[in-house]
Amino acid sequence: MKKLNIMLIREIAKAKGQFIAAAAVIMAGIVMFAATYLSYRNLKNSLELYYDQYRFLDYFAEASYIPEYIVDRVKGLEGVEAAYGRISVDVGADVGEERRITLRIISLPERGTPALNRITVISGGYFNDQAENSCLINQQFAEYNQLAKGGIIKAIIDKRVYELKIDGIVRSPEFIYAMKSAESLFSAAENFGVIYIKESTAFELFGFNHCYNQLHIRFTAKADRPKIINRIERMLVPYGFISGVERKDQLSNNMIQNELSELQNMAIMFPILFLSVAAMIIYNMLRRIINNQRTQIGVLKAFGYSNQRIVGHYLGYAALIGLTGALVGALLGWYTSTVLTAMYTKMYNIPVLQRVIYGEVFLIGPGISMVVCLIAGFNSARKILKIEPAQAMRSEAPKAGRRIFLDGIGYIWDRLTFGWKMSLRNIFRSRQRALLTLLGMAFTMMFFIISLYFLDAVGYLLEQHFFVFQQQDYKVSFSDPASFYDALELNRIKGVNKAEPVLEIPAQLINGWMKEDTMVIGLTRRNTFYRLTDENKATVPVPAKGILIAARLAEKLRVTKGETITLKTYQGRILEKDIKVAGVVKQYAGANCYMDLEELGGLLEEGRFANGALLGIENGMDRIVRKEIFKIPGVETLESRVNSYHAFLQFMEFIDTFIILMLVFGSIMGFAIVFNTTVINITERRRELASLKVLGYTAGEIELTIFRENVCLGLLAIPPGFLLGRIMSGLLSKMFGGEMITLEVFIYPKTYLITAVSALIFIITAQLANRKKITGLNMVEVLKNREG
Amino acid sequence: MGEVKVVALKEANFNLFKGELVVVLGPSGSGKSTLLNIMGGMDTPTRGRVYCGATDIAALNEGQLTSFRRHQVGFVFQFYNLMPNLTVKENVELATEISENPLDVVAVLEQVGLEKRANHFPAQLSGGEQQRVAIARAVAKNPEVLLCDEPTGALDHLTGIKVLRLLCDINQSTGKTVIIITHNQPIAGIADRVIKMSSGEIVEIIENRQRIEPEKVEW
Repeated sequence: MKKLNIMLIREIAKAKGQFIAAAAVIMAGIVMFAATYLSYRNLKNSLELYYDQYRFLDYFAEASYIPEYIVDRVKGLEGVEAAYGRISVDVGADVGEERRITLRIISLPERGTPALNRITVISGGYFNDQAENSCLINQQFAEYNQLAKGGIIKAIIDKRVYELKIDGIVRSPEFIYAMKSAESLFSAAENFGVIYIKESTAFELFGFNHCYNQLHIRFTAKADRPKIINRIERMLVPYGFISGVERKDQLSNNMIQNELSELQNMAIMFPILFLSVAAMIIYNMLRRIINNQRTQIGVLKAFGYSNQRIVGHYLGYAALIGLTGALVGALLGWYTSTVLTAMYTKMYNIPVLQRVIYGEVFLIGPGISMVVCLIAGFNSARKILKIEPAQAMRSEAPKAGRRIFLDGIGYIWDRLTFGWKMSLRNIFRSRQRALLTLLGMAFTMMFFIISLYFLDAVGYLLEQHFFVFQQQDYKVSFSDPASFYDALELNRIKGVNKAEPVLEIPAQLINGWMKEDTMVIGLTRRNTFYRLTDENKATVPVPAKGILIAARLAEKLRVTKGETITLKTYQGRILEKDIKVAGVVKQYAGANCYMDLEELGGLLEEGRFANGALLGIENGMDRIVRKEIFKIPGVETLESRVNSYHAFLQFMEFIDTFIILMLVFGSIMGFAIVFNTTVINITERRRELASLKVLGYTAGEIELTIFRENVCLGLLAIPPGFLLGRIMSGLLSKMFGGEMITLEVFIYPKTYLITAVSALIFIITAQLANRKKITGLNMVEVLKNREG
Repeated sequence: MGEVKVVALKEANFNLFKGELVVVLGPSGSGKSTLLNIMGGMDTPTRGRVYCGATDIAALNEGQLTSFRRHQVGFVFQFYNLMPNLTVKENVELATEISENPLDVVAVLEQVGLEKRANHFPAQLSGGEQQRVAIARAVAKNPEVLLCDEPTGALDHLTGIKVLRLLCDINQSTGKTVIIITHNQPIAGIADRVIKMSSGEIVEIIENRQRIEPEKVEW
C-alpha cells in the first residue's frame, strides 16, 4: 500500500473520535434522507399499486338521484374506462351504550366485486350471510370500536333503529383516511365509521329505486378528463347534480398525498441541514490537521510529492469520512425506512406493501455527502497549493496576541479572573474556528427547535381547536331538519346548562371561475360555544348579514371582507345566492363558513330552522344527558368534544416516534460539533496547556478554560440558533400545514429552555469525552517537541 | 516576510562540483538556509540563475521544480521531520515510492545501522537514530545531491559525530555531492570546500587541503 495511504489510515486511527464524530453527523443526515426517501417511494408506490389494483376512482359525482341508464350511458363515453353507481348516505348509529356517531352506509353489489373502489376482505366474508341486514365494516372503524364479525351496529334510519349484522371486516382505497369531512379530521376516529350493505338493502332502506346518488368513474390513460367531467356534470344537472370531486380532492387521497408531500420535503430538508453542519466540521478538522502538519507537507513537497498528490491525501480524509458516514447512514436509513413504512401502512391499512430497496439511495446519499465532504476538504486543503516548500518548513509564527473589545470595557474586564480572560481572548484569537463552532451550535439549536416545534404546533393546534375555538361539550345532529325551538327544547334536559341551535349545510362558494366546497355553519347571534377569531386572535361576532369565511378559503377564492361571492347550496334544491363576505376567520382544521342561523335559513328559503344543537353540560351529568338525548327520535349523532380530543391523541404516537428520531440525530450533531471543536482546541493549544500544567495548574483548572470557551460559544449561539429555529418553523408551518390544517408558528417557552439545556449537556458531554486528552497531557513530551 | 521586506541572500555566485562535500558556514541569519532551499528547488530566487547541470532551476515552473526535487535532490533537515505515523522502513519507502531509480531500502537501512529498527516508529528512536533514518530516506532516493540543513543542530556532540561520519561515508562510497549547512565552525574541517557566508553574502570560499575525520571534530 502507498505510504501516504498508510499515513491516512493511521492518522484516522489516532484521531478516531473526531473521525467518528464527523462521520456520525453525515450518517445522521443520510439516515434521515434514506428513511424518508425510501418511505416516500415505498408508500407512494404502494399507494399507486393499491389504487391501481383496487381500481380507485378518478372522479365521482353526487346528485340527488342517478338512474341506472345514466350510469350505463356514462360507461359508454369515450375516455371512460369504468363507471359505477352506488348509494352513500350518512346516518346516525349507536356504538355501545354511550356513543352515537355518524355512520356512512355505502351500497355494494351482492355478488362479485364493485367495478371501482374494490374492497379487501380482512376477516369474515363478502356477504356470505344471506340476511338482508348483513354488513361489512371498515377496518379502522372495527379496530377503534373493537367490533368483529357477528357484532351488531344499530343504525338510525328515518328515526328508527335498524340493526345491521357484521359479516366481515374490509378495507377500501377510498377510506385510507376515514373521515366525514376535512373539519372532522381530528374527531374522525371517535365519531365516524364506514359500513357497506347490499345494494338491494340500500335501495329499500333509502328509497332509491334502482337509482344512485353517487357515480364513480375511472378514465382511460389518454382521456380528455376536463371535457368528460364537464359532459357528465351537464348530464347530471336534471338529476339534481350536487358536486363533482376529482381524485386529487377526494378527502382520503388528499390527506395521504399531503403526507407523501411532507415526506418528500423532509427527504430534501434534513440532509441539507446535516450535510451543511458536517461540511463545517470537516472544514474545521482538516484546517487543524493541515496547520499542524505544515512541516510534514513541506517535507513531502521537498521530496517531490506534487501538490495534487498532497491535496489528494487530505481530500482522502474528507472522502473517507463522507463515505463511512454515508454508507452506514444508507444502511441504517434503509432499516429505519422499513420501520417507518410499516408504521405508515399500519396507520393507513394499505394492504399492498411495497418494500423495495431503491438502489439509488445508496448512490444519491453517499454521492451527495462525498461531494459536500470533498468541497469542504478542498476549501481547507487549497492553501497547500499556495505555499512554497521552504515556507511550509518554517515554523508558523505564534498567533499574535491582541486585545479584544471587552478589554476596553474596564468595568467588566477588571472583574474577570485570569481564566476568563484567557478563554475570551482565545475565542477571538481563532475567529474562524469560533465562528464555525458557533454556527454549528446554532444549527443544532435550530434543529432541536424545529423538532420540538412539531409537537408544540400540533399541541397548540389541538388546544386551539378543541378548547378555545369550541366550547360546547356535545354537538347533536338531527336526522331531519328541526325547528329552531325544538332545538332549544334540549335546554329542558336535566343536566344541560345550555343548548344552542345550529344549522350545518354543505355548500359551494363561487367567485368567478373559482369554486370551493365548504360547510356553512349557521349559529345564533348570541352563540357562546364557537369562538370565532380573526388573524389577530380578536373575537369576530356572528354577523347579522353576510358570511364569515375561513382564511384558507378566502385565500383560495381571492376574496376579502366586503366583497361579494356566490353561495350555492343543494339542500333539497339547488340555490345560488350572492352574499357579502362579512369577515375572514381563522380555522385550524378544515375550512368552514359561518353565518347567522336565521339568515342562512332565509337564504335556503326555509325560514328559521336547525339541524343540530350545541350543548353545555353540568359537571358529572354526561351519562344522564347522553341517555336522555338518545331517547329523542331524530337524533342522528352525538359528538363529545373531549372524547374526540382524546381519540386523536392516539395518532400522535406516530409523530412522537418521528420527533424522537429527529432529536436523537440532532443530539448526535450537537455533540459532534462541540466534541470536534474541543479536540481541535486542545490539540492546537497543547503547548500552552502543557505550560499551564508546568506552572502548577490542575487538570480541572485547565479543563475549565476549555469549558468556559465552549459555554461562551454556546451562549453566543443562542440568539442566532433561536432565531433560525423560529424562521425554519415558519417555513415548516407552510410546508406541512397542507390544505386541511393550519400549523401556527407557535413555540412554547419550554422548547427554548430544553434547547438551551441540551446545548449545555452536549458541551459537558464533549468535555468529559475529551478529559483524557487534558489529564493525559505529557508536559515533557509536548514541550520538547518543536511543533505543538 | 509579512509586511517587512528582508533580503535573505544577495550576490551569491559560486560553483559546486560533482562528488564533493561542501560545508556552507555562517551564523544565524547569514542566508545559508535560503541558499540551500534555492539550490534544492524549495524556494525561488527573486533574481538570478541556478544551474543544476544544464538546467536553470530558477526558471522552472511548479511542476518542473517538483520533478527536480523528486529525482535530483535529497534533503536532510535539522529536526529530522520524519512522519510520526510511519515506521522507520515506511519513512524510507515514502521517498523511494516516487523515485525513478531508488536504492534498496533494506540495504540503505543497513548502511545507516538501523536495519533492526525497521519496524519501530520515530517516537521510539533517539534523536541520532531519527536523523540517521532521515539520512537513509534522503539517500534511498538515489539523488544527485544531498542537501543537509544543520544535520547535527539538534544532537549532542557524540551523536553528531556519528551523523557526520555517515554523511562522509556516503559521499565517499557513492560519490554523491553532499552539501551541509551549519553555523558550527569545527564541522567545516570535514569538507572539500567551505563556503563562508555573512549577511546574505558569500564572503569567502576556502578549499581544504585535507579533510579531517569526523571523529576529530570537537565542539
